[in-house]
Amino acid sequence: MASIRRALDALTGGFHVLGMIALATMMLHITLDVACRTFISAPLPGTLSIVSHYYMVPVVYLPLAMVERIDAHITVDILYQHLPATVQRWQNILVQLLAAVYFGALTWLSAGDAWESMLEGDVEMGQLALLIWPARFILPFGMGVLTVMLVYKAVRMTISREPVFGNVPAPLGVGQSDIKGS
Amino acid sequence: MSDLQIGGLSLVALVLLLVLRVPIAVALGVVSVVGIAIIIDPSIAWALLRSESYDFVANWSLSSVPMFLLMGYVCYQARLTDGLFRLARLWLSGLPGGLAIASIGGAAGFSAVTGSSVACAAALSRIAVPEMLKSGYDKGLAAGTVSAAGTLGSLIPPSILILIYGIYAEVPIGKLFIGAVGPGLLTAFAFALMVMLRVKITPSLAPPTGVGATWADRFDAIKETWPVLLLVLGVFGGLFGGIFTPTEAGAIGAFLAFVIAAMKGTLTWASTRQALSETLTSTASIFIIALGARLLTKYLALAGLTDYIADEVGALELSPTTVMLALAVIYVLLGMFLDPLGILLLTLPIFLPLVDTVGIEPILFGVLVVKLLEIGLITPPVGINVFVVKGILGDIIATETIFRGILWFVAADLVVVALMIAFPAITLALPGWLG
Repeated sequence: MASIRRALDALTGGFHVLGMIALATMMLHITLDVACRTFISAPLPGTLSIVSHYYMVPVVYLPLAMVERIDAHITVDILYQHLPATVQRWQNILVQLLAAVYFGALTWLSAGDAWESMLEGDVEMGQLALLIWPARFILPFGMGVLTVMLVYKAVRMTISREPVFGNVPAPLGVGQSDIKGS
Repeated sequence: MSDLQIGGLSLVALVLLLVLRVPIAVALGVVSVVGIAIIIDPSIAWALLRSESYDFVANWSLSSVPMFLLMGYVCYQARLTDGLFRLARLWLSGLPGGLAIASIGGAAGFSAVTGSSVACAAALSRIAVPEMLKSGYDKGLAAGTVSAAGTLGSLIPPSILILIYGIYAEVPIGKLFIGAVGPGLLTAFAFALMVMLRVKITPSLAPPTGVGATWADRFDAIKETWPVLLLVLGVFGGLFGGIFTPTEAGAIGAFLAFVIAAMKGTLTWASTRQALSETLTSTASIFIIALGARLLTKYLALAGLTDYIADEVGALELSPTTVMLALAVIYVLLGMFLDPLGILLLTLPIFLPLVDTVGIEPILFGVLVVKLLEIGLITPPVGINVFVVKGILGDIIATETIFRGILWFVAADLVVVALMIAFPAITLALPGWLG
């Protein structure tokens, strides 16, 4: 189990770093586009498509496993906090499994979508012809790791009462932010 | 069973799943997919899930959400806004309850660079609460003020909630942002007035601080706030001056925040990484819920439920004011228990068609909903701002004490909501005037 956890943490951390890079690049790219348009009247071609396909998609899908790792998915806790510990544990396991089914289905569907789009050589025609099938592969990767994370947590909760990650900090030291939310 | 009945039952199932602590994103998605599979065909449900999961996210205008989030997180992590409270304190501490009023002023300033109420409350409780307690302020008043003033964060532009509403309801973001300025300032004013009246009646709540600020000090402090002024000027000047679009404004704002933090010397590798990382986890959790809400919208429309509700309520021929009042009650009740973003995305699929049928101005509705969601951040039993403030202050103040201090602010908030409904011009005058 420990080696599975290490592999999962490595993937989760790696994807998170890629997401951070996409986020920072998105900011720089949009800023540069505005600057070029304003100062030298020459906007960067295809900014809109690149942002949509190559920054937004990784920014949303790559950190999903990390969000699960630090338990940051938004839930409604009205009833939960009043339940006895044993009920909480089993209910947790079932919820993890239901989430695994949902994201597992999404992984499968998006993988099929990416595969077909690769065979077709999917290209978006705009100011520049942008190859978009590689971006489609980000979905099955991001949600695939999330699904494995959910199943791993469910299995760990079933066989042991210890907290799933014990005192192992999340990769890169990412924590539940004290200012999460809106 | 008719499609309509199945649709209605799905909403019951949705609530049940949510109460069982299924993540909001999963509950929305599962209910919609199963529902579509039953009323139409499983293959349609799969096809929709497959296309929406990519097409919804690969979207240019939605890029403004992570970019505005990033701008706020950079300001918070690099402490760009700490000078604001000092400035407000020097100018306002002479008033009764001056430090509390200075906190409200500081919050209004911070709100202009962050789209998040929680970030706003967190930043203020770090700086303002210790100062108020040192001066012998009532604990409930001190913590209540920062929790409540924090809600200005999502009202005064930029605002993540308004951004999401605008994209979802297809209302121009720029107009919504300007529309929220009036209600935002009115809220700040109402809070300040309420604090002053309370302190006038019970002076022991907030002993005078005796800060002998000279005019030289006061003008000196303005110099300290240049980072915020520069940022606000850069973002909103460029936005309303037509140099860039609302979608691009977030990226420019985030970039400017980084540059200013670097100039100020507060940009560290750790704060950069922290800001990027927090933006990323917030963005992912917001979008995965939004995807579920998209699916629910499609499903409820297919089941005919949205039309049904809009028709039924439309047939009652209620005035827009009555409908707004009814919706206000619903939002305040939901806000007591649920996360604002969750409520927004859960209710828009059902309420937007209704609002359209009844003829409520979409800019007014958007700003009003956000204002109501903000009240939900400070009402018990689940008041997210209160928990954040409590989390930062630790054991100095009990949660109950904060909620007690907040009741007065909720009362002031309700007056603001009533005024917003009674006088739509509070929201609509500025966007109308600016075209």
